[in-house]
Amino acid sequence: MNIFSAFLSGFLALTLPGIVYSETYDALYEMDFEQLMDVEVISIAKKPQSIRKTAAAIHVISQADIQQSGATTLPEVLRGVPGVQVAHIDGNKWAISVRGFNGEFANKLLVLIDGRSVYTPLFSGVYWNMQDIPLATIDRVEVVRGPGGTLWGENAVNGVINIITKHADETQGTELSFLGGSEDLVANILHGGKLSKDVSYQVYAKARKQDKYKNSPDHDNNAEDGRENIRTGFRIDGQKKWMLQGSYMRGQADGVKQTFSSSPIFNLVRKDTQDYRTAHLLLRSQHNIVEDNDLQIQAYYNYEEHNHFEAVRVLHTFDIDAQHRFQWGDQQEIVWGLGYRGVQDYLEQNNNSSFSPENQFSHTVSGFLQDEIQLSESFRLTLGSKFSHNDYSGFEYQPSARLLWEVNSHHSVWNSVSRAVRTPSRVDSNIQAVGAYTEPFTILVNGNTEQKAEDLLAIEAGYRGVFSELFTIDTTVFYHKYDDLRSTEPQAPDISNFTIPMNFDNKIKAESYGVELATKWQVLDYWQLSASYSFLTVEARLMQGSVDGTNIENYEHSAPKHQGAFQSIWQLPFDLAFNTSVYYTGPIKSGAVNDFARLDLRLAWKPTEQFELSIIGQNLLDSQHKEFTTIIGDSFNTEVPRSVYAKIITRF
Amino acid sequence: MKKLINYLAYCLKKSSIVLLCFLSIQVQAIESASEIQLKIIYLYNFSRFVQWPEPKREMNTFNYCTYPRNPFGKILFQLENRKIQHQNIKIKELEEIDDIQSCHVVFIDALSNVNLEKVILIAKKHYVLTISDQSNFVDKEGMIQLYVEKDKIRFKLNFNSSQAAFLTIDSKLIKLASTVLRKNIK
Repeated sequence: MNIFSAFLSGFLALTLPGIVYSETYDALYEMDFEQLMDVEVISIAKKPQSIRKTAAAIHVISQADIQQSGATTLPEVLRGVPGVQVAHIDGNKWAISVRGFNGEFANKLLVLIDGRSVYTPLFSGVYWNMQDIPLATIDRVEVVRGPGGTLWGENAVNGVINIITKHADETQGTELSFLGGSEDLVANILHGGKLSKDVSYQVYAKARKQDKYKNSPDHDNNAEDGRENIRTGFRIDGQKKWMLQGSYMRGQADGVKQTFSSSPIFNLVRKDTQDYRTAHLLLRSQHNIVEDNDLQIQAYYNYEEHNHFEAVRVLHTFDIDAQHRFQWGDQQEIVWGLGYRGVQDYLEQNNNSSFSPENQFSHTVSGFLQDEIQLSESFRLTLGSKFSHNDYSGFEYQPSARLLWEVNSHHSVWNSVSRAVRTPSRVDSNIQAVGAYTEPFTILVNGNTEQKAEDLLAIEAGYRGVFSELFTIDTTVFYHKYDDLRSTEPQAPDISNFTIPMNFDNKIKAESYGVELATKWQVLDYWQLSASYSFLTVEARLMQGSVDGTNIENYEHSAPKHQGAFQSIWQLPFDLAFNTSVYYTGPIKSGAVNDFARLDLRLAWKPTEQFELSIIGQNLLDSQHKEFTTIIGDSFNTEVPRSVYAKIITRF
Repeated sequence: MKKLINYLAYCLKKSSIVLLCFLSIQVQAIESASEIQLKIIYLYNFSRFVQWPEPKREMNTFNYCTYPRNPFGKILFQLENRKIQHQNIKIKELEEIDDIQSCHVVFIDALSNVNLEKVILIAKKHYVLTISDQSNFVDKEGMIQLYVEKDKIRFKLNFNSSQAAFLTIDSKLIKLASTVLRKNIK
């Protein structure tokens, strides 16, 4: 039924734009040839040249794509990118991963905003609700599938999401936007100006109130998953030479969590409101020593605080990186760099979990070297490795080799072999948490200070083709081999205090393979279609000596085998635009989530550059549906309701 | 569901009122357009600055051809509403190389494998203006080569090739070309 409705809406999107208009372009015919030569080319299908020349699976989401998708949150921007799974756990929590291994605490994906890691060192995953940056400040989002460890370092295992915000020069003036509808209320003000001839600034403030989602139909009580947050920030750019940015955010996200006690009748399911605060300050400076010889130095401080179950947990991150790029001879370009990161944390104990030690300062030092060699006019080889040392697992190396063959200006083929690691987090090493309760024993999950890094060896190959300005195709096949994945090993019951300890270890191996495909087709000048499809299979197995009984199922089946997305962008006369997005997600076996199709529609009217009005409908195919189940149990996952929004943007 | 429909109906009612109010807003000066659209306008403009010899001027229609495929899609047909001098424009999507002789203008798609020498030969013999976005097109004796530089469309001209086909090119077009290939005939 879901597939049927997906096809139906796809069909509608295909047949609707049968009407042809041409009046808008009459003005072009009337222009003088000299005037005509000043008209700039805009092409929705155009991608930066560098992407086509990259020997990696990369997908770029532009600011225009973000607007056209009608996405109201950062995670929703990522929906539809090949290889990426975006699933709501509840109204304010997401499970987001690339190439499988998904979960609330998905830990094989690195997420950066302007080169600042927003991946918490606590569990090596991302608190997505704490990254509520104004979507209008985003220049582009680069999604790299597969290992990115050589350049990006630890935890860029299955992928890297790189969010790049706009230079302050590009947000001059004032923009007010307001979004209101059945689930979200978002107000945003963005202002930019000049401090001097060469220095421009940008300031913003954003507030969001998100309504409660729905419980599954067999629970009639209201879901407790609302959210409220405010965020404010600035960015100052001294041309392309230096940049200073900062932000402060404060919010509250509701959820329902189970607490375990000595007897199951005292187990509590209760509302759990998380207070969170984040702040950051980042300084980047770029020096052009001579032509093709650049030095970039970046330093940042990041503050993260959660107040959760009456315990306050605070993390301070200090990071400094230097990167030097230069041309060596005619055929080689070398990039090398050094980095240091220090994390100071204060992790209070709550009634579910504690860390030992409670406070810790940990260091990571790293260096990398990459050489890009132009072997001939059409072949380019990139070799490199990252070397690092961290306090948890010691020395790590992450090499890669990539070969690009530009068959001609329209077709290119690449392949790569690379290794990446996920280093242990505070949770892996030092947590003690109550996992469950089975009469009369309490199950205790224990971190392992001897925990090793999880590692991945990946082999990938890809093809990109531009068949004309009208049709592009980008496809990747991959094989991933994982070693030392985290396992949970039950120990002999301790009769003295009725506990069963379960200790973390590294006794799972896994293999995965898949295909990712993205195409864009400019059917008519004013009508663009794009589609993506991803196929994924994960097979995991226990290593000798392991008695883990829970992780295999979760590693193998936390992501759908098939995912697809389809989008139609249709420019109408009278400055109207009509966009249709259809997403299909196959069944997720772990957690018994049915397959679902989602239909989003957006009608926008932009009579001038200063004013835009849009109406957005999301999840239109059903009144509510489930997208994900966390391993803890499905009663705390809520369902995504149908929603309708109106959005107004004014600029002056 | 009913609530949603009511809501949508309400929004539609509201928005149509707003729409009516703003329909009178004038179209602003065009600063950007899609690459395809712009290239079509260029094709049209080139023919306004070229003089064809008698046999071509006497034809019933002014024939714009694409060979071996039409990279512009259906939008190219918008040209059929226009005229070059007194001739109505006709778009022809050619598949046979020999059909080029019936054209005034032929556009060779950069991505196609064509026997360029033969195209040039036919064009020369039958007074056809050859245009392409192939790199090095003018170096291979094509007449006009379109390319994009810094988000703007630019073109190169091979003056000798056009002369060989007895086409007269207006000096304005020569001035606007970024490069003009002209061999000094001694």
